[in-house]
Amino acid sequence: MPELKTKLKEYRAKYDMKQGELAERVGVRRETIIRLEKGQYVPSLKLAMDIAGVFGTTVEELFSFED
Amino acid sequence: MKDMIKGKKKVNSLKKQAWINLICGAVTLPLYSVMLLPETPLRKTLGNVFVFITLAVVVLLCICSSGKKEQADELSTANMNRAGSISAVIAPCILLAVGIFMHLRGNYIHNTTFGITGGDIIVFGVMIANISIIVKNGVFLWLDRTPKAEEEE
Repeated sequence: MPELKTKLKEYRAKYDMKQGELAERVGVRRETIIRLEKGQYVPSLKLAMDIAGVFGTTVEELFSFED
Repeated sequence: MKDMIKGKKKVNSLKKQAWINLICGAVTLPLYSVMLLPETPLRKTLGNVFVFITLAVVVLLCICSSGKKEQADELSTANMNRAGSISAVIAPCILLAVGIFMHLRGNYIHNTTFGITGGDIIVFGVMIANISIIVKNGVFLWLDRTPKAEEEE
């Protein structure tokens, strides 16, 4: 099964944003952001687009799959 | 408490709600078990004690759980659905276990028929539903646990 790779942590660090802040801005819980950063949860298209929107980037830049 | 004085309602997290449901289920389970015992003076006393304890705990938990409930996000919804499908398998497993026990017991006492009243079935049905609630919330808490390394930020 392809593994989810994400640059969420780097982008958060770049924007000096805490997990809780990001979670609040996209309307999810902090646990969801933690799982996303660890690649343990594949987000819905809406959530991926919302997160990309917060950082002003694209979904492809933030998330990718590796075999 | 300060928030309550200021008039703000505290938000109960999904985990807290799941814990409350789990404890409510776990506390009421012995009550059903006692109700399924044969009618004796000891059972009546035990039944009264369990009813009192259960009511006290449930009322306390209801007070603790008062306030706004946290909205479920997509991860928690997915976890709850997974927990629900796991708990749905539990009920037939319990029925199977009880069936096997009754069959073996029937073989042992050379009587394969048992007298079960409608009341027994109601209590048993409620007990199974209760076990499903316990399993569902327990599995949800397990699936939704925060990874250890990330507990603090």
